[in-house]
Amino acid sequence: MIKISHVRKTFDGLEAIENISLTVNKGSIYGLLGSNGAGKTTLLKILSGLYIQDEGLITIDGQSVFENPDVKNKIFFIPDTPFFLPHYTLNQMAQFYQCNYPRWNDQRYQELVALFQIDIHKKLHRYSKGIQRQAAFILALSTVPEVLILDEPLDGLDPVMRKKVKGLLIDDVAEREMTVLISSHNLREVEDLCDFVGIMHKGQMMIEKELDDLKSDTHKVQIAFKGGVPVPPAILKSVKVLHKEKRGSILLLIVKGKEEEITANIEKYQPVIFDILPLTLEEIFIYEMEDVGYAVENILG
Amino acid sequence: MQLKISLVNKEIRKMIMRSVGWVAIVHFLVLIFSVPLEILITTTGEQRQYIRAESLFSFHYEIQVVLNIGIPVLMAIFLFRFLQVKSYSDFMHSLSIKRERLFHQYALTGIILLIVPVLLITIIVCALYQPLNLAEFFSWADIFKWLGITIMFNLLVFLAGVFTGMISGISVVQGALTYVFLLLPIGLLVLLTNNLPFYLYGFADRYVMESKVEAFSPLVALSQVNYRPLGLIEIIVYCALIFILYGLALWVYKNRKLEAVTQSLVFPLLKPIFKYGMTFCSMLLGGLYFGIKEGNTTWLITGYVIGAILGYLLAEMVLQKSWRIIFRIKGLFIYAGAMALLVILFQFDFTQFEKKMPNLNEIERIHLSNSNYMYNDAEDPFFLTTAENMDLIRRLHKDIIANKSKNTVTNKSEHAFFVYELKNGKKLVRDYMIDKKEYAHYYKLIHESEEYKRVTNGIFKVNEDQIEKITINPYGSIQKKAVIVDPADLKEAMAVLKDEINTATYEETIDNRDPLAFIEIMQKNDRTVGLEWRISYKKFEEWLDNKGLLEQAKVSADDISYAYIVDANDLEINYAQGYSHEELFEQMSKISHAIKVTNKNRLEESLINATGIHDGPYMIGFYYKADGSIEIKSFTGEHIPDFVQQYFK
Repeated sequence: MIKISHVRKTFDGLEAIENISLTVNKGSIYGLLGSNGAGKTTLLKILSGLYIQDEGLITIDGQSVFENPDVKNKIFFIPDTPFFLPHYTLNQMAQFYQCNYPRWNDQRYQELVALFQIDIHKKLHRYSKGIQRQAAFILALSTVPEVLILDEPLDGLDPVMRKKVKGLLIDDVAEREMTVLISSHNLREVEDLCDFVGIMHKGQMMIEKELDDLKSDTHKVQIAFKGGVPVPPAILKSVKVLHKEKRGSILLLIVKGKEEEITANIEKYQPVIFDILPLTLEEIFIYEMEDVGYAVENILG
Repeated sequence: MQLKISLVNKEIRKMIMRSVGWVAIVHFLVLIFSVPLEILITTTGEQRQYIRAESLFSFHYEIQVVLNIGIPVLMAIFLFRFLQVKSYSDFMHSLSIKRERLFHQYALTGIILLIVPVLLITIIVCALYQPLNLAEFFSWADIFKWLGITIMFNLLVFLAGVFTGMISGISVVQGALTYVFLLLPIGLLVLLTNNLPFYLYGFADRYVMESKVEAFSPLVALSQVNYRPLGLIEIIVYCALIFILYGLALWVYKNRKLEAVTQSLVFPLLKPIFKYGMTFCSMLLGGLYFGIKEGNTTWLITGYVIGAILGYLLAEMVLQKSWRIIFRIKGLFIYAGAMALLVILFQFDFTQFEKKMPNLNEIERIHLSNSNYMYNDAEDPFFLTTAENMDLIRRLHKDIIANKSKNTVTNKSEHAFFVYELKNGKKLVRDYMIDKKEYAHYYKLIHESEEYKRVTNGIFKVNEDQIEKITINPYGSIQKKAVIVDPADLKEAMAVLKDEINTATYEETIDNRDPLAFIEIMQKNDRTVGLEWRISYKKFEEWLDNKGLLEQAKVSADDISYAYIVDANDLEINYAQGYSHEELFEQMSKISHAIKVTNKNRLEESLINATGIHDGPYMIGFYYKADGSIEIKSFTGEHIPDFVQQYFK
């Protein structure tokens, strides 16, 4: 379990992270979202034990990370641009990690190499960005980490590879309860992967949600009454409306609540048109945040 | 084996070898060409007889210096490259290795890689020692001295490089700062000692500069190691520094923040130190360049201002990593304010430097002379210890301080150099520029004292039974000389000379006329004591005359054919480029308003009164009978002969 509480970090007097707290349960995938400069990478680097926070506590399974080899053994951090030692081949990198990570699984490594089909004897710096990223995944998963920290991991991967990588991550999470922390500036990229999502903006955590709840709780409703009769105001009171918009004679509502209850409440007024639709994650956030008053579209890019 | 496993990470060792192995190979190859191969080539060929090697440093010394200065820094830069590249730094520190372990492994591998090539060369030289009969040139001990000193300097420079690597986030800055650090002590010392005399009246700058300042910079010390042997204290300090730098670098590394990679200086605290340190140093340099060159206060201040502004700008450029910087003038104003305050404090002598003078009962002995060289360079500098002399010197010293504003530097100024050696082992050293005439009453009493004469004249240290001979070599371009060998005559001569010295007045000892001859007292132990036959030593002249040696002992009118005397203003003398006596004599002979002296008495008078320093109003050129050689002298002050005065009136 990852526990981050009241963490602060300043660079040269500028606050990169202001008082962030979050908890990631073992075996879950946490998506850290936010625009460029929101502080995601900084938070991940503090979590990986690269930077040290100015204030607050960071623990993994109750132990702090900074300069703690016992914890760092179990963590693997893939930065936004994967790094390999100069002029090293995949095989040499594997040897290097094998020596430095006691949990290294060579069989797993062979399997992954076969799956991604990378030449293990070619110098890694000659490969394209996408293949380098695949190599990083092979190496990361071969160390059998308990916590995998990924900074913008899917950038530069084609859709097929993306799917492959996501599948591998989900397998490891399911099989051995690996905990994953993913940062991304693109919600759509990770919405099918994460079970928790937190949105950061200017060093602060704006909202943090469990996705299953959100998805089953928020709905898009379209209603129209015969002959353009105005919508009875009572409807709007019977359900929790996040957002209301009129498109011709059709009223579009974003509503919170259980699907059955909403259906029952609205059907009482016998509308001509009544559709209840699921929302994409992005839409949910956009409407959720309207309450808070931020223009989320800009944040999520 | 357990220890080995826990300390050495095999893969990291492999990685280090892959990245810096080449440095060790280059080191080894260049060394093999400059030392063993050079030995092989020179000692087996015809040049063998010309080799003047005193140690292994003598072989391609310059290359060895370059290696000792360059290789360790290269090693430090490439070894700790992972600290200066952001992605590399993140990678290395995400591994589950503590920084301490990482540091030990890197630093120790670097040390081994520096030692191994030197060790291999030593082994090769040892293997050549017997077959090539190298004992002719250097001993076994010299080989191991070379090994030890080379390794010591390599490690010192390397660890300085490692340390700067820890405080810097850019490899280039790391390299540059390493050399700055190694040169800073001596640089600062030179700058300060050259600037301090402007603020501390009596500061003995030349004395400080003569006192082994080279040892303050390992770089300077290592570049002189083939002719300036290292002292024991130096070696101890350097070795201690190696350990201190190792510990310090480790401590800094543990506290280094990774996010500061790619910044010139990683620790924010160091930035102002660097900025104002640089401003200060370049201010002093500006003052040195303009102030000492031009020698007046306006230029000194101009130098300070220009130096400070340049240094400040340069430091800002380094810190902001761009030459297109935003000029923050505020910092410069604060600095200027602080400097103004410092100068004011100096004006009030806040250190009490200028007034400080030890009490008579604290003083062990005092050295007072015209130059620090009489103290620094003398094998056995003289000291005065009698209460009267020490009291006189203190009073002279006090008087000089009291007349600080009157003692302006002119061309008549001479150094008054004081060294008080105290009973508590401390020293107080002062150097003033004074016009000695103003203080003659002190000098007269001191210089005429029995003690002063005894300690400053080597003749009093001569054991009379040990004298082999006394030679009297006349000054002038003449070959003759007088030699005394008879033991009885030697004793007499010594007695006369001692008497002459003891009775000479202060005025006679500062007589600027040329002495008649140089007297050498040769002892049986091959040590020679020299003294001058001053014009005032009439009794000695009489004695020589009685012994029939006078003719051989000095230049007389009989040695001169004739002489020309001219007004110095009529001559064109190129002091800057030098001039020959022959050319000058040629000029003299053509001047219509000149005296041609042939009269014996006048020639004799001229010979006695002339001085070899050509700054008098009248010049004289002597034409020697024997070989036609020329000697030019001049007449000054009260020593201008009457006939000359009258002629040129």
